[in-house]
Amino acid sequence: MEISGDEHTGVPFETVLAAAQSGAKWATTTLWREYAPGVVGFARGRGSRDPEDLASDVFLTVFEQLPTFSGSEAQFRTYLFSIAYRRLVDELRQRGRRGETVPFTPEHDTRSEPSAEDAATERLADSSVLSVLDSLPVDQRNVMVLRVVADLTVEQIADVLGKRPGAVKALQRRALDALRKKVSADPYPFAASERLPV
Amino acid sequence: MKTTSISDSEAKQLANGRVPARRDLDSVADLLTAYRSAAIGAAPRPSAALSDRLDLTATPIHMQRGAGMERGSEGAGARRTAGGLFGLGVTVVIILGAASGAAAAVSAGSAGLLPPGAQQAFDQVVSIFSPSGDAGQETTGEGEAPGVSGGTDEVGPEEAGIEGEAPAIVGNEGVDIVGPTDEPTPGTAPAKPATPGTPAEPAQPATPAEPAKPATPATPATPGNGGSGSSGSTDSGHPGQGPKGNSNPGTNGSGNSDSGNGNGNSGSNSGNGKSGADKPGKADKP
Repeated sequence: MEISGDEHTGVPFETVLAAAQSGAKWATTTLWREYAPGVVGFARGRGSRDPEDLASDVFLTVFEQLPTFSGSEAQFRTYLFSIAYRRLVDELRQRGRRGETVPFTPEHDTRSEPSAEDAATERLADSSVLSVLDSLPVDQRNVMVLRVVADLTVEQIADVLGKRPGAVKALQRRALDALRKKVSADPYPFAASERLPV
Repeated sequence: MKTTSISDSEAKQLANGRVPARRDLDSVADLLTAYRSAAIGAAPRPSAALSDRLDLTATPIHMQRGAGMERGSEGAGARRTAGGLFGLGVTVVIILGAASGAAAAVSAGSAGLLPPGAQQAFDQVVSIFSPSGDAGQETTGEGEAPGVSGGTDEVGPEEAGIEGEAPAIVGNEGVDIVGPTDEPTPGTAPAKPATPGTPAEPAQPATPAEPAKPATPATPATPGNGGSGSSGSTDSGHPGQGPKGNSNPGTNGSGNSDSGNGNGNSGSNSGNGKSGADKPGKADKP
């Protein structure tokens, strides 16, 4: 199949979709490269243990069902993250039923103090940024991750989560309010007892 | 410290990666930006089962996304529109500039307002085109001199008061299409009645008309635009040579044939209007 498009505008989504539906590997690879980072980010932000494995699982399902799909790019994105959300919910439920099993890794062994280098690396890692949303309730986390990482609109998130757009808006507003309170700078960095008498 | 809650529009701005006007939301915007960049990385490594369906050695192909595609098309459309308008503007400016310049020169020449040398040259040119008429004489449009129009002249309503007084078509080479108020004046040559608003017919007589004998002097460099207009205006500006209309239509026709399209006609019309409009009050007076 001939690929139309140039390097500036790119190949239209419809062309890629049609080729992927016919089994063209370049098209499935394009879809993977385009959307897999978002799926991994969503899974990581929602606490998946193995986000890459979840993303592979999601795309296997998508590619199997792709011949029956028809719609625009926005609809494909909604469809993709709906599957990712269901897979994630399955994983979280499974983990909740069986209990969380964590394979032993020396660096996560809390019985030993990490080295100074490891501690510095840990502080600088992205996980500290990614853990910012962990304090939010589950619904708000879902909305915020789908909004920020998956780049979905309120209506698309409503479709993915099975909620009304108004409810999604309210969740988003509350989540942002909570984040603002969390990250708002404390005007007094020292405790009252540590302040110098004026 | 009292803080107001985040509105829907501010939430939308934050989620879309923009910073709202409120200063207390700057830190939230920074946080979300950092979160986005930390969460989205490069394409992950697929599982073994998925790798069979992919060709990871292939060159990455950029794909148009929905929103990006819309933005791109909007930008391209705006660029296309701007380019088209600009191109059209340049063309229009050239045409209007040439036509108005020629019309102004002819008007000034007809009124005898040109500098002495230029006025003399103007008179010579006019005398060449109208050997039996007075060079400085202008049409009053009152019907004493039949209008001269050989080619296909479409006279707009603004010219109706002028051409309408003397709408005679001498010679049947062309078709005069005059304005709504145009009525044939008794005594003038039997002309085809004016058809208001009739679209101009193709200049069939103009095409075989005398091949550009006089139009050259007053013709600007750009063929087909102001050239025919100026020549036409020169002719009609001196319609005292009414009987010579048969030759003057040739002049007009030559102008038209110079232009070879509607531009020439419109140019000659504007010229007619200009020259005739030198004394519109006369023409309007009964």
